[in-house]
Amino acid sequence: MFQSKEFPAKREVLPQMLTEITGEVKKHFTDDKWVNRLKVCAEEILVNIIDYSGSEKIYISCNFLEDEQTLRFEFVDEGALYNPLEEVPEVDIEAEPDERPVGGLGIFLYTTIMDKLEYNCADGKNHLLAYKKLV
Amino acid sequence: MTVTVERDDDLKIIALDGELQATNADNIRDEVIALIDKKPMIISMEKCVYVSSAGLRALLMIAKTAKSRGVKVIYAAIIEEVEDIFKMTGFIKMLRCVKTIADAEKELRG
Repeated sequence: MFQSKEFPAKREVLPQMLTEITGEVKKHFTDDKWVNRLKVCAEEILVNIIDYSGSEKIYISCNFLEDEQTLRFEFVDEGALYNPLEEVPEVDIEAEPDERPVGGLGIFLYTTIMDKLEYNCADGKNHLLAYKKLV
Repeated sequence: MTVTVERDDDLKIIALDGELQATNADNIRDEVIALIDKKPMIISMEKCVYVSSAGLRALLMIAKTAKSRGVKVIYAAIIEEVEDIFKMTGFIKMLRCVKTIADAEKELRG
Protein backbone atom coordinates (compact mmCIF):
# COMPACT_ATOMS: atom_id res chain seq x y z
CA MET A 1 0.00 0.00 0.00
CA PHE A 2 1.31 3.48 -0.80
CA GLN A 3 -0.15 6.94 -0.65
CA SER A 4 0.22 9.72 -3.20
CA LYS A 5 3.66 8.70 -4.42
CA GLU A 6 4.97 11.42 -6.72
CA PHE A 7 6.55 10.75 -10.12
CA PRO A 8 7.64 13.04 -12.98
CA ALA A 9 5.08 12.71 -15.80
CA LYS A 10 7.64 11.43 -18.28
CA ARG A 11 7.70 8.35 -20.48
CA GLU A 12 11.15 7.36 -19.24
CA VAL A 13 9.72 7.05 -15.70
CA LEU A 14 6.90 4.75 -16.86
CA PRO A 15 8.80 1.48 -16.18
CA GLN A 16 9.53 2.65 -12.61
CA MET A 17 5.88 3.56 -12.01
CA LEU A 18 4.73 0.20 -13.38
CA THR A 19 7.25 -1.66 -11.22
CA GLU A 20 5.88 0.08 -8.09
CA ILE A 21 2.29 -0.70 -9.05
CA THR A 22 2.97 -4.28 -10.06
CA GLY A 23 4.85 -4.88 -6.81
CA GLU A 24 1.74 -3.86 -4.90
CA VAL A 25 -0.59 -5.88 -7.12
CA LYS A 26 1.51 -9.02 -6.55
CA LYS A 27 0.94 -8.73 -2.79
CA HIS A 28 -2.76 -9.37 -3.39
CA PHE A 29 -3.15 -11.14 -6.72
CA THR A 30 -1.35 -14.46 -7.11
CA ASP A 31 -2.54 -15.21 -10.64
CA ASP A 32 0.00 -13.86 -13.17
CA LYS A 33 -2.82 -13.27 -15.63
CA TRP A 34 -4.40 -10.71 -13.30
CA VAL A 35 -1.05 -9.11 -12.43
CA ASN A 36 -0.49 -8.67 -16.15
CA ARG A 37 -4.02 -7.36 -16.80
CA LEU A 38 -3.70 -4.72 -14.08
CA LYS A 39 -0.29 -3.67 -15.39
CA VAL A 40 -1.83 -3.17 -18.85
CA CYS A 41 -4.56 -0.99 -17.28
CA ALA A 42 -2.07 1.08 -15.28
CA GLU A 43 0.17 1.61 -18.31
CA GLU A 44 -2.70 2.89 -20.42
CA ILE A 45 -3.91 5.32 -17.75
CA LEU A 46 -0.36 6.60 -17.09
CA VAL A 47 0.54 6.98 -20.78
CA ASN A 48 -2.61 9.06 -21.38
CA ILE A 49 -1.66 11.37 -18.50
CA ILE A 50 1.98 11.64 -19.67
CA ASP A 51 1.13 12.24 -23.33
CA TYR A 52 -1.98 14.40 -23.14
CA SER A 53 -2.55 16.05 -19.74
CA GLY A 54 0.33 18.53 -19.76
CA SER A 55 0.89 17.78 -16.07
CA GLU A 56 4.49 17.72 -14.84
CA LYS A 57 3.76 15.23 -12.09
CA ILE A 58 1.67 12.16 -11.45
CA TYR A 59 0.61 11.08 -7.96
CA ILE A 60 -0.25 7.41 -7.53
CA SER A 61 -1.93 5.76 -4.55
CA CYS A 62 -2.61 2.09 -4.12
CA ASN A 63 -4.78 0.79 -1.28
CA PHE A 64 -6.28 -2.54 -0.42
CA LEU A 65 -9.83 -2.17 0.92
CA GLU A 66 -10.06 -5.07 3.37
CA ASP A 67 -13.86 -5.00 3.79
CA GLU A 68 -14.43 -5.15 0.06
CA GLN A 69 -11.36 -7.31 -0.71
CA THR A 70 -10.65 -4.76 -3.42
CA LEU A 71 -7.51 -3.09 -4.68
CA ARG A 72 -8.01 0.62 -5.33
CA PHE A 73 -5.66 2.73 -7.43
CA GLU A 74 -5.80 6.49 -7.61
CA PHE A 75 -4.04 8.45 -10.36
CA VAL A 76 -3.86 12.21 -9.87
CA ASP A 77 -2.48 14.80 -12.26
CA GLU A 78 -2.39 18.60 -12.39
CA GLY A 79 -2.94 18.94 -16.13
CA ALA A 80 -5.89 20.06 -18.21
CA LEU A 81 -9.12 18.84 -16.67
CA TYR A 82 -10.34 15.86 -18.65
CA ASN A 83 -12.63 12.97 -17.88
CA PRO A 84 -11.41 9.98 -19.89
CA LEU A 85 -14.55 8.04 -18.97
CA GLU A 86 -16.85 10.50 -20.75
CA GLU A 87 -16.19 9.10 -24.20
CA VAL A 88 -15.38 5.43 -24.22
CA PRO A 89 -15.10 4.35 -27.87
CA GLU A 90 -16.65 1.10 -28.97
CA VAL A 91 -14.20 -1.50 -30.19
CA ASP A 92 -15.29 -4.19 -32.62
CA ILE A 93 -13.13 -7.10 -31.51
CA GLU A 94 -14.28 -9.15 -34.52
CA ALA A 95 -12.96 -6.63 -37.07
CA GLU A 96 -10.22 -7.40 -39.58
CA PRO A 97 -6.92 -5.44 -39.49
CA ASP A 98 -7.87 -3.03 -42.28
CA GLU A 99 -11.21 -2.25 -40.61
CA ARG A 100 -9.67 -1.58 -37.21
CA PRO A 101 -8.95 1.95 -36.01
CA VAL A 102 -5.50 2.28 -34.39
CA GLY A 103 -6.83 4.02 -31.27
CA GLY A 104 -9.31 3.06 -28.55
CA LEU A 105 -7.82 -0.25 -27.43
CA GLY A 106 -6.32 1.06 -24.21
CA ILE A 107 -9.47 2.53 -22.72
CA PHE A 108 -11.41 -0.52 -23.97
CA LEU A 109 -9.02 -2.72 -22.00
CA TYR A 110 -9.12 -0.83 -18.74
CA THR A 111 -12.88 -0.33 -18.77
CA THR A 112 -13.25 -4.07 -19.47
CA ILE A 113 -10.73 -5.28 -16.87
CA MET A 114 -11.49 -3.00 -13.91
CA ASP A 115 -14.64 -3.53 -11.84
CA LYS A 116 -15.27 0.16 -11.30
CA LEU A 117 -13.78 3.46 -12.49
CA GLU A 118 -14.51 6.92 -11.11
CA TYR A 119 -13.36 10.35 -12.19
CA ASN A 120 -13.51 13.60 -10.24
CA CYS A 121 -11.85 17.01 -10.40
CA ALA A 122 -12.98 18.43 -7.06
CA ASP A 123 -9.70 20.23 -6.22
CA GLY A 124 -8.87 21.32 -9.76
CA LYS A 125 -6.85 18.17 -10.38
CA ASN A 126 -7.77 15.08 -12.35
CA HIS A 127 -8.46 12.09 -10.09
CA LEU A 128 -9.03 8.73 -11.71
CA LEU A 129 -9.90 5.89 -9.36
CA ALA A 130 -9.80 2.28 -10.50
CA TYR A 131 -11.07 -0.68 -8.48
CA LYS A 132 -10.48 -4.40 -8.84
CA LYS A 133 -11.92 -6.97 -6.46
CA LEU A 134 -9.76 -10.00 -5.68
CA VAL A 135 -10.48 -12.91 -7.99
CA MET B 1 12.74 -5.36 -26.25
CA THR B 2 14.92 -6.80 -28.97
CA VAL B 3 13.96 -7.86 -32.49
CA THR B 4 16.10 -10.68 -33.90
CA VAL B 5 15.99 -12.25 -37.34
CA GLU B 6 16.45 -15.90 -36.41
CA ARG B 7 16.11 -17.21 -39.93
CA ASP B 8 15.92 -15.72 -43.39
CA ASP B 9 15.67 -18.27 -46.21
CA ASP B 10 12.39 -19.13 -47.92
CA LEU B 11 10.66 -17.60 -44.91
CA LYS B 12 11.62 -15.26 -42.12
CA ILE B 13 11.49 -15.97 -38.41
CA ILE B 14 11.52 -12.82 -36.32
CA ALA B 15 11.85 -13.20 -32.53
CA LEU B 16 10.52 -10.56 -30.12
CA ASP B 17 12.25 -10.66 -26.74
CA GLY B 18 11.12 -8.53 -23.80
CA GLU B 19 8.20 -6.18 -23.14
CA LEU B 20 6.28 -4.53 -25.97
CA GLN B 21 4.96 -1.37 -24.36
CA ALA B 22 4.56 2.38 -24.71
CA THR B 23 8.24 3.27 -24.44
CA ASN B 24 9.36 1.02 -27.31
CA ALA B 25 6.25 0.14 -29.37
CA ASP B 26 6.85 2.69 -32.16
CA ASN B 27 10.48 1.62 -32.63
CA ILE B 28 9.61 -2.09 -32.62
CA ARG B 29 6.78 -1.44 -35.11
CA ASP B 30 9.19 0.34 -37.47
CA GLU B 31 11.88 -2.32 -37.03
CA VAL B 32 9.51 -5.18 -37.87
CA ILE B 33 7.82 -3.32 -40.75
CA ALA B 34 11.27 -2.71 -42.26
CA LEU B 35 11.74 -6.50 -42.34
CA ILE B 36 8.55 -7.17 -44.30
CA ASP B 37 9.38 -7.95 -47.92
CA LYS B 38 7.74 -10.70 -49.98
CA LYS B 39 8.62 -13.68 -47.80
CA PRO B 40 6.14 -15.26 -45.40
CA MET B 41 6.98 -14.35 -41.85
CA ILE B 42 6.79 -16.07 -38.48
CA ILE B 43 6.89 -13.84 -35.44
CA SER B 44 8.15 -15.85 -32.48
CA MET B 45 6.43 -14.59 -29.31
CA GLU B 46 7.99 -17.12 -26.92
CA LYS B 47 10.09 -14.47 -25.16
CA CYS B 48 7.66 -11.60 -25.55
CA VAL B 49 6.56 -11.40 -21.91
CA TYR B 50 4.21 -8.40 -22.02
CA VAL B 51 2.09 -6.57 -24.59
CA SER B 52 0.22 -3.40 -23.61
CA SER B 53 -2.30 -1.45 -25.69
CA ALA B 54 0.60 0.48 -27.27
CA GLY B 55 2.11 -2.90 -28.17
CA LEU B 56 -1.21 -4.02 -29.66
CA ARG B 57 -1.28 -0.88 -31.80
CA ALA B 58 2.21 -1.72 -33.08
CA LEU B 59 1.10 -5.28 -33.92
CA LEU B 60 -1.99 -3.91 -35.66
CA MET B 61 0.15 -1.61 -37.83
CA ILE B 62 2.45 -4.56 -38.67
CA ALA B 63 -0.62 -6.63 -39.65
CA LYS B 64 -2.04 -3.80 -41.80
CA THR B 65 1.31 -3.34 -43.58
CA ALA B 66 1.81 -7.08 -44.17
CA LYS B 67 -1.70 -7.42 -45.53
CA SER B 68 -1.26 -4.45 -47.88
CA ARG B 69 1.97 -6.03 -49.20
CA GLY B 70 0.37 -9.49 -49.55
CA VAL B 71 2.69 -11.07 -46.97
CA LYS B 72 1.41 -13.80 -44.67
CA VAL B 73 2.44 -13.39 -41.03
CA ILE B 74 1.93 -16.04 -38.35
CA TYR B 75 2.42 -15.41 -34.62
CA ALA B 76 3.76 -18.45 -32.78
CA ALA B 77 4.40 -19.59 -29.19
CA ILE B 78 2.46 -16.79 -27.46
CA ILE B 79 2.77 -16.94 -23.67
CA GLU B 80 -0.40 -17.25 -21.59
CA GLU B 81 -0.50 -13.68 -20.25
CA VAL B 82 -0.08 -12.16 -23.71
CA GLU B 83 -2.59 -14.60 -25.19
CA ASP B 84 -5.07 -13.45 -22.53
CA ILE B 85 -4.80 -9.84 -23.78
CA PHE B 86 -5.02 -11.06 -27.40
CA LYS B 87 -8.27 -12.89 -26.53
CA MET B 88 -9.80 -9.86 -24.79
CA THR B 89 -9.16 -7.62 -27.79
CA GLY B 90 -9.93 -10.11 -30.57
CA PHE B 91 -6.30 -10.11 -31.72
CA ILE B 92 -6.24 -13.89 -31.26
CA LYS B 93 -8.66 -14.17 -34.22
CA MET B 94 -7.53 -11.12 -36.16
CA LEU B 95 -3.90 -12.28 -36.29
CA ARG B 96 -3.02 -15.81 -37.32
CA CYS B 97 -1.76 -17.36 -34.07
CA VAL B 98 -0.43 -20.91 -33.64
CA LYS B 99 1.07 -22.86 -30.75
CA THR B 100 4.60 -23.51 -32.00
CA ILE B 101 7.15 -22.33 -34.55
CA ALA B 102 6.95 -25.80 -36.13
CA ASP B 103 3.17 -25.40 -36.58
CA ALA B 104 3.75 -22.04 -38.25
CA GLU B 105 6.40 -23.45 -40.60
CA LYS B 106 4.16 -26.37 -41.51
CA GLU B 107 1.30 -24.02 -42.34
CA LEU B 108 3.43 -21.65 -44.41
CA ARG B 109 5.03 -24.49 -46.35
CA GLY B 110 1.77 -26.50 -46.52
